[in-house]
Amino acid sequence: MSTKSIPLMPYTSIVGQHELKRALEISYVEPRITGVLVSGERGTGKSTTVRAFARMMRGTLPITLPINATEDRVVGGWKINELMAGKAKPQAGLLQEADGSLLYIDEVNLLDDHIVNIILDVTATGILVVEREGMRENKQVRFSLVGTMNPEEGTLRPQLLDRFGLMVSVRSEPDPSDRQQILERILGLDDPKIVAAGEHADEAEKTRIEEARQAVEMVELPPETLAASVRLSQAFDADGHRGELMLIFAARALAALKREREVSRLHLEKAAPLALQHRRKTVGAGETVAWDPEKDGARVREILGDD
Amino acid sequence: MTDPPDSLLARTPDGRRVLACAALRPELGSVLVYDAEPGTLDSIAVCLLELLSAITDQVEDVRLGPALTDDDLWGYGEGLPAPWRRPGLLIAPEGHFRLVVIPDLAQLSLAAARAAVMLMGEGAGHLQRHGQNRVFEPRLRWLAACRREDLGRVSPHLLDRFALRLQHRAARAEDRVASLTELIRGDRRDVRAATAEEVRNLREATGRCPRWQPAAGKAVTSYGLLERAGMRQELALAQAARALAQLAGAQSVGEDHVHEAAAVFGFAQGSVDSDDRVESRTAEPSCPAEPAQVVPPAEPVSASEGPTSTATEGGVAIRGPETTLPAFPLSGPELPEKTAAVERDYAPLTLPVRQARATARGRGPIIGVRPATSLTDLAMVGTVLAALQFQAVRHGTADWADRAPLLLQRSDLREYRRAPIAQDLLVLVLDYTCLAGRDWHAALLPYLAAAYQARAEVCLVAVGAHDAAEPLRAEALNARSILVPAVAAALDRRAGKATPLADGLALARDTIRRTLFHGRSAIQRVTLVVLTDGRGNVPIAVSREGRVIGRVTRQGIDDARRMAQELRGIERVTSVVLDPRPRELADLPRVLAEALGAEVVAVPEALPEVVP
Repeated sequence: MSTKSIPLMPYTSIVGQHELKRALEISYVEPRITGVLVSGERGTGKSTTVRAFARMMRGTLPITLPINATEDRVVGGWKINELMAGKAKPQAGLLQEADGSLLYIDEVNLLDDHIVNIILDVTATGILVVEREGMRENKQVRFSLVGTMNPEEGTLRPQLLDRFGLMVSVRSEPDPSDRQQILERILGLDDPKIVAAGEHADEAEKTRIEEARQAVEMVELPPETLAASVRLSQAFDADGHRGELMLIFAARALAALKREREVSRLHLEKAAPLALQHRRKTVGAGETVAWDPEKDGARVREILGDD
Repeated sequence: MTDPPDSLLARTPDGRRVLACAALRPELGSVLVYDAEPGTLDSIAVCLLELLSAITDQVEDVRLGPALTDDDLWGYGEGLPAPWRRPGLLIAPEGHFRLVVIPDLAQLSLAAARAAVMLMGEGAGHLQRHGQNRVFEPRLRWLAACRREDLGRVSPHLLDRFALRLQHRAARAEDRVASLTELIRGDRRDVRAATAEEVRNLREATGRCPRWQPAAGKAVTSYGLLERAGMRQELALAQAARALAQLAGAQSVGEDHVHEAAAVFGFAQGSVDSDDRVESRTAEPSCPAEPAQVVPPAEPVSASEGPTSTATEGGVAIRGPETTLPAFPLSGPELPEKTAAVERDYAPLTLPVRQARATARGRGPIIGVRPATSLTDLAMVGTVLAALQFQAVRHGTADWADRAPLLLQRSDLREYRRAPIAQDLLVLVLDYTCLAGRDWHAALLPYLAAAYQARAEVCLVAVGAHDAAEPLRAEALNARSILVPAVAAALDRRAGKATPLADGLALARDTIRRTLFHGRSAIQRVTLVVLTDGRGNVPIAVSREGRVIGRVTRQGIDDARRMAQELRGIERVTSVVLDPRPRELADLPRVLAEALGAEVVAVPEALPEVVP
């Protein structure tokens, strides 16, 4: 089945989900942000948005790692047809196929522990080690990891949680007119004219994001923003140093997306929940402390207000 | 062989429209029937198959049960010679449709439950197993049954995937008599077969694409179906409206189709948004997710009435225009799965970790195969299939089969992945006559928590409950885990007058011996918790006789001590006595603990209740 034949809503046709879209765009603009974890209850459009984004930016659906994938398909194996004929021809695994691109895992919290360990190794070292038939190969791979999950079905190990540069908690749109629009868009997917109009709008959006990616290295980082990033990370008890790093990268990507030349307090404020919410101390059994937009948002503003 | 009983769902026009919509639209193609009898599910499946055959010539059904593994579901051996290939139950060949029938959702294997979550309602499936690398269109419809009392055992993530819900009702006697009469006389019309008109209509409907009108969206949101998170219920109503519009040959989907869908599929109007509708109840926009349902009627009517009547029999009540819907709520706490007592583990869809204990290896139902880390519990077939792929390379020729043995390497070895099994048993002997004024729940909590974490089986021995079937005897409740609702219910019984403690300890002894030493139980360790003040006033002989013999003496206390000594000698049992610190005969719990060889833990006094 060609992935092009799968009906999918154009990215720009997706109503709402601003926080999720922001996180995906940031992650694309700044590849050193190693991916996005999308957490939300059922029926909130998580997977739709991720797939639509990947198709818009890369022209194809993301490389998808299903939760029941076997190791040979994750790490790489052999082409079975060729093996049966006596020829050993390697078959690239999903991690290799995702090199330079996006690796998508739906229901990431249901993934086999063994596969999780493999992904942790590869994302930490950037090296994929393939051992087969007495041979060992090391390949450099780098990909953006995007995972979606329903938190009711369990949490992620802290080590895996930390591999995601950003985290978004997704909720459904409460406003009735937004929901009507969502229904209209979903049920309009059968209409080629509506889809074509959406895909046309996607082209313009893609250009905007690509331009931001080209410009991100030139966005300036005033020293006070670096200090503020550290202060925020400490204030929210974020484990390790990745929190402030991801925060500053995310803030810079945001500035680039807005075509601004310098990172400001506002960019840090918007990036803080994405970079810090899943790095806070856990409440127990791996559950993260949920981000409270009002209370935690006020705290962020208070800390940044010291600049 | 007799035909399975017809479901009324398959006999009434509205019922067949519900199934036609499920056949037509993949978004509606997952149906959950509460409390369905096997025959009912079969007849709904037959009807669905016939309707699906209108869309494609190649349609078949597959059944999913408790023993399926990933290889059964997804297939194995693509690329291997034909005799070694195993097609997957969930991979329909090109041009085929499959109806996936799940006779009991609560008994579904873990692999099948995970597969259902991956595929149900999705436009594309991803197969990345054993060399297989493809994206495919699922071409599946789902039909499952679950008893209401078992819903607490099913993952809510899985339940939520079902777009349509139906409630089975047992047939009334007069309807069954009528059905039997028809059968004997041979009058029974084959109501299950799709008519030529239905087939033609369904075929034509597949090519239609009615436009969605904004007024239809407004009508959908006017039903006040927004859940706490997610729009699945609203989407289900919208898709139902579109399906009906397709079937009717309409050019567009309008407000009328939405209201018709609400009537046929059983959504109650719950909003003040529309002035034209009669409100049946107040909307609760913050309620949790509920998909569409067909609502049972308050007043069952004979099945022989016309298609506009409300009817019930072996299936679902279909609303007609003259009838009103009873208040079967679509949101709020009354929905079956919202009120079902939770009996599932935390994160029920995650794969079990490798069992570290040697005693656990090789036990438990098989749920899959994985690369082996030891030589115990090897999966022979999986190992051979893994090795088979490399034989040509290892022998240096594709033509090895007749000449050379199978060459195995360590990397070929496969072991079974098994569902975890209980290896622990909590035996709780609870003397209800000594609990007053004590905070015994707090005292028990650590042991209950440990039992939960260890997934222990539970045996609750009730001593002196006021509603005991035989007051002079103890009663044992055996449960597969602490989550079984009967355990919680048993903890809250009131005190009776007699205290057959000796009989209770004897019951505990017998249970423990039987579990540890008889048969092939997997239980390796027992925790025995005895909560009593030791004042067992019923001797063993009285318990056996079932009547009081003579005056109440110390005999009961002595018998209890004797039973405790018998328990002391059993290996692999850790005992503890929870002492409620009675004012009189205060040393009895300690004496009992000594006989048991148990530690003693005091039960604190209950804090006085604060009366507002």
